[in-house]
Amino acid sequence: MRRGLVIGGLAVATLSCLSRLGQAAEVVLWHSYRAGEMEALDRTVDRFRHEHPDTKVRVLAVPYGAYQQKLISAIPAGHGPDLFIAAHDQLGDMIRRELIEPVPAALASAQFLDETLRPLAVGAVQGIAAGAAGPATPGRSWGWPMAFKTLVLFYRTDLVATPPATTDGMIEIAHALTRPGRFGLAYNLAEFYFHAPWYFGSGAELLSADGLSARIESEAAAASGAFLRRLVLEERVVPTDANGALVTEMFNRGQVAMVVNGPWFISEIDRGVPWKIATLPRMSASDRPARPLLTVEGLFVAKGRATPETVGLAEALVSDSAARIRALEGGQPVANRAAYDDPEVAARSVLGTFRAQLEQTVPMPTAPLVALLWEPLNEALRQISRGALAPKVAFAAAASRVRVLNQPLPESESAAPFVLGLLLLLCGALAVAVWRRPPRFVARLLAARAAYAFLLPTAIGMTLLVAVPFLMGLGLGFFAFGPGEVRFVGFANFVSIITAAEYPVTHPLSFYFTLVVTVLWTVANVLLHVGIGFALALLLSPAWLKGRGLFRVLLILPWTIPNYITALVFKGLFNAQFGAVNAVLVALGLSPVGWFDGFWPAFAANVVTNVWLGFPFMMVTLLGALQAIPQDLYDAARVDGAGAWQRFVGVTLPQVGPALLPAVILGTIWTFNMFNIVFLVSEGQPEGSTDILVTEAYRWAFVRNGRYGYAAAYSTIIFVILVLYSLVTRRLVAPRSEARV
Amino acid sequence: MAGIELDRISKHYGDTVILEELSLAINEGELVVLVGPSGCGKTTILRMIAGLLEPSRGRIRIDGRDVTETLPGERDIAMVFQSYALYPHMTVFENVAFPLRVRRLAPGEISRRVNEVTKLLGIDHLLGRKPAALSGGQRQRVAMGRAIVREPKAFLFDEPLSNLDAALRGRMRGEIAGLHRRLGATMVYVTHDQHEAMTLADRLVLLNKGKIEQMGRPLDVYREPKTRFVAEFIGSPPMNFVPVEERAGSLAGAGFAVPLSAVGVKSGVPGGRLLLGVRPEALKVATSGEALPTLKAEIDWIERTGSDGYLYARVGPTSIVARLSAAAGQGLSPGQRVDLSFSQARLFDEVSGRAVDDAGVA
Repeated sequence: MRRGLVIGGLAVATLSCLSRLGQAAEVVLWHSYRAGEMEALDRTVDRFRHEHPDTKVRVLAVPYGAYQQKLISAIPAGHGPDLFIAAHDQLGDMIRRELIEPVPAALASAQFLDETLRPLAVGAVQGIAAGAAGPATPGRSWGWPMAFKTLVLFYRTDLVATPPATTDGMIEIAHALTRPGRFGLAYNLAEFYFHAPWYFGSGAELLSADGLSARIESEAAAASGAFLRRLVLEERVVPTDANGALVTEMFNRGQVAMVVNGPWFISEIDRGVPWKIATLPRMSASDRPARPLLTVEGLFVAKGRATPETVGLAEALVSDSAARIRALEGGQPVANRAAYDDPEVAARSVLGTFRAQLEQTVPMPTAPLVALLWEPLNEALRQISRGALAPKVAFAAAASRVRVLNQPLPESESAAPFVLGLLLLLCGALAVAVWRRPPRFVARLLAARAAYAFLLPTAIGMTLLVAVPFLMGLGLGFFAFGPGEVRFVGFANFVSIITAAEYPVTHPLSFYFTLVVTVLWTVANVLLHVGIGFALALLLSPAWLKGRGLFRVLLILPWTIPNYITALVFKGLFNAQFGAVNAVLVALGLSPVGWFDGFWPAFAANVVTNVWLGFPFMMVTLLGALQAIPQDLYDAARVDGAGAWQRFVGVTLPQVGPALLPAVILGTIWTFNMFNIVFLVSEGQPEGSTDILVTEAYRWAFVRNGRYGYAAAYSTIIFVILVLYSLVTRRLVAPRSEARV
Repeated sequence: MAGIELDRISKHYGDTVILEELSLAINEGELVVLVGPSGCGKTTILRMIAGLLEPSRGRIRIDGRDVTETLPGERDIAMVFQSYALYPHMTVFENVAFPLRVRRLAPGEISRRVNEVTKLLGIDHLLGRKPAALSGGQRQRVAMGRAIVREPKAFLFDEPLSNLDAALRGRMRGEIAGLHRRLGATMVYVTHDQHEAMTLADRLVLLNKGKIEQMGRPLDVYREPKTRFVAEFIGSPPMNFVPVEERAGSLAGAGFAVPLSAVGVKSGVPGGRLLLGVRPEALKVATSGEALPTLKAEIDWIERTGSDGYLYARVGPTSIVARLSAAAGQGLSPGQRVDLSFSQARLFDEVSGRAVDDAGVA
């Protein structure tokens, strides 16, 4: 089985195949550019069309979010692009998946900036066994470089006169500019990508030369951590809680003087903000230049599409004159050497600065292993910047986490006993079905065939949309996915999860730790949902209350807002430095809380968000139930001498019970699987401890090097837990509903 | 047991007046039936006695104690609701025991009293069932059991039989009457059904638009309705009204004249439009040489129900109905002209609706 097949989009594939019938000598180009970059690219394509009227070119702008997945599923199915633009860090993966052809003709390497060319050569593709790259000769190129992206220092010229040459100088300037409400420097601390300049500038590295093992535990790495610690905790010139959007906003408002960011930041700067860019400063401690990661955007030929037309278009698009257009009109730091000799381009100091920074960069590794490093590294940076761990310890913890995540796949098992068992099970089930069939089964089936024909469309839909994905997910749990391979491993994934032998029970990666957190999360939420919902329903139910309708609408509103929006709003409210919650705490004379620094505050933030989202459902359910209680019952109880509490216990509670119980069961299942809130509000912080089972399953599949099998096994276990829960609760509900007649 | 006294109570909702300055004294051990059409305020009175509604003005006393501001549970009264208001999640035993449990009686005492009461009502074999598994009559008995078990100072019944079918209603009526005799309890019973009112009441209070139209022993009210409204409400079919005029000591109508003495009035009859009120059961087909006053009527049609029959006829332009024995109806046919004699009649002033008797207009 192929990985591409697993992800596959069969229906889409068929449709676009059909639409391509009958079209000849056409070159399809995919890209994910927007705005200025897209317009510039379109101009170069138009120029090609003008010069080659016999070649049809179709350009498709694919949204960035789904770009990589679309390439992976479309190209092997034969309906992808002929030519596409992609970042070089996918190169190893693309070669392994056989998505691309090597560049057919020898590249005129002199045409390009040497440094940008290197990552596109097979020799630079790390972590790929020689055989996997096919009949490639070392130094062979896999794509044409178009442009590059890296980090530089943006600064507001109204605040900073001369950009710093060293990090000490940078801290000095930042220090002078930092005051309440303003910071000297800002960047997205949560992402290793933005720490990379200091990391590599300290002399640390990510991977071994062969790309097969991680090298993140080193003195140099610790030194970069110490520098981060100095910026954030000692000098306090960098805000700890600034994500990408907040950095932009602060820079535009003049609340921050310097920002470490890439070329995409240019379009986010407001008009009227005076700014310039400079290369990143030298690291004072190591006396080496800060070296950000480099991404090269290349033009790639899809597998089997290396026609003369395709190559012709590619060469036209990367020509010096096309590069000049992209540089001037798209503002792209292009890869062509000649473009920078152009007087107009040379006049653009921004492009010149990127060109200069290029000399001090580290190409983004292409080894598959690198995908596994980001989560542990980000975690280490968070721990350092909030002072939880010493830099050395934090990187050591990250390294050990990488080792755990990078464990070799379980041994391959023979699928035969499983297949045999499954067949026996199916045969047994079939035999039982035949043996216990109702009398005259076939005759009755045929007699009612018109009725079954009406059911058929729904049955097909349910099968395709529910049964098939469910069974595939179930089956997936018995496989392990490694780089370039899939193997059947039997129950190994399940055993590994259930025994949780690899980590202590108190470790956030342990299944049982997550299970306990999930149960805690569910119980806390449902109790608060019901409690608050009930209290509000009781407040809103008396007929004499004025403006009851208005209150009801207001209180149902949280429910009507998409929950991810609420989640993002609450995440902002709980922001440690800029959030409203801490602002209120400070105004009340209390000390601010680092909401996502400890388990309980982060857990509380999640719960508060979800309670806000969840109480309206319970309120509406209970309001309906309360209004269905006959007033006579209350009158009778009052005449019988029951007080308010006795009426509540003796009349209200038993009367709403039948409505409340299903709502609680439903609410429990929803909360148990409430992915959005945990994923968006706490993001599992700190150290993944607030993750619940579903978010953990997601991370196994999409953050930790695509361990789909493990994640599927996780999902199956969640499913089993919920099935058991609903079986138990069904027993609880059943006798009561019988008694009600 | 105790008397209940309503002292000039009023009930308003905004500008809507439900009751105005109504006073009523219910004696100890008396069964008073409040009867009247929908919206006459009878249920409002009952709920105010129970304490479920507060009067806008006036005082309520039970057993001489002012309870106007007292909570329902502290008035020591029991109420049976039209819907029975049984607690659906409780068994019969728990329902009946509820008022005792609320008062925190000892469990032994509770079960003794519940058993006693349910035996009295013949529902002691249903103690383990829930209301949903009971018939209408059984539910009714449970509701009464829940009221009786507390041995309250007074019972309030809010149209307790209106959800039952006709046969069961008759039986339960008898049981309530029996219960009243046995317990000798003060009871206030609200109904819109005149049969219930006539058969149950020691004293009947007829309400109309928030005012007491007439009260008294049922037969007195039946025989001597003080207003046209009472005369129409009590009695089935209702009393006939034939327009008459006073002419020289006799009452003249369409084609007939009767002496004033026929309506028990000697003199002092006001002028103007009058109505002769004759109950259907007071009319007979006159035999020749009849001494009683008669009306001349033309038969429209005759209804025979077996035991008796109804004769629908016209006196001039006025439609009337007479209740005849089955035998008396023999030989009559539509279109025939007959003389209808009557043994008893009341005279009403058409404008004021009040009865005219010896003292003139009442």
